[in-house]
Amino acid sequence: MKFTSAFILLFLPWLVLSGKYDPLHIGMGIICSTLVALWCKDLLFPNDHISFKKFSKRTIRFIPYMCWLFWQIVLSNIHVLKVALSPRMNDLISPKMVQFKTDVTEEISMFVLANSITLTPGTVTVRVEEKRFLVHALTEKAASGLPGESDEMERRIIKVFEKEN
Amino acid sequence: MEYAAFFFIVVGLIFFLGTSIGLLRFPDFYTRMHAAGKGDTLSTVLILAGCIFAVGSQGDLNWILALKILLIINFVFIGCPTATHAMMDAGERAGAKPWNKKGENK
Repeated sequence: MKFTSAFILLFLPWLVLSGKYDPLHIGMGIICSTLVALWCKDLLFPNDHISFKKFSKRTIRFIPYMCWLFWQIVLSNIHVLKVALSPRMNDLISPKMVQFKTDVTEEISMFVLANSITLTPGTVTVRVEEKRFLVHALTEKAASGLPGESDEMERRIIKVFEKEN
Repeated sequence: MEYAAFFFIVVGLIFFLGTSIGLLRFPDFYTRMHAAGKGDTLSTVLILAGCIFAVGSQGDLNWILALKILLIINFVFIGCPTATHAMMDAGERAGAKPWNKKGENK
């Protein structure tokens, strides 16, 4: 199971990146993907209890989250552009460090949460230790949107990754 | 197609300009990383999307090339926030003090 998924994960990018479909190139791709998948499958998938069904369900639920995240990225870029170009920049910003504890438990959801915080308007993740997040916020308003105070993003991530069934 | 390519690349460049100006104008390390980490992601994605359309406008749409660019977009999407993150963490460990309104640059 682990080997198959690692092989597919390596072989599909090979097909896309090589762009040549004669026996020689595909053969080399199969050999390389097999060897790397054999050696590195435990690195790619450290825990083996994830089933294919769970994985595909997560992937499907991840797509609407991606759309929401992309919209947030657009908003955050407009925000940065506005602050960077305003002549009275120092009045607009009041940076501060914020610490909070998160409810998400799995590693993948913590990774997604950290990267989402970085990509949403006015906040950047500085450090993640155990379940404590250290976040730098550009404005008071941005700090109030963090999971410590309002849990919209956290709720979405839990919905995507941790809800069973 | 041509207009879509034009639109995406110009918008991407505007965001890149904003990022660069922000990088120069913000008061301290952390706020500068705000500008760098966010602007980079979206503007790179937009410019690469513009490249897909630019290739498409030249007659035959090359699907393999479009897929390759999509792979790059995917990588930028994951890599950019992670790199920002690593630099913020390194700065915090090295003892960079966050700027605040009262004690200018302390």
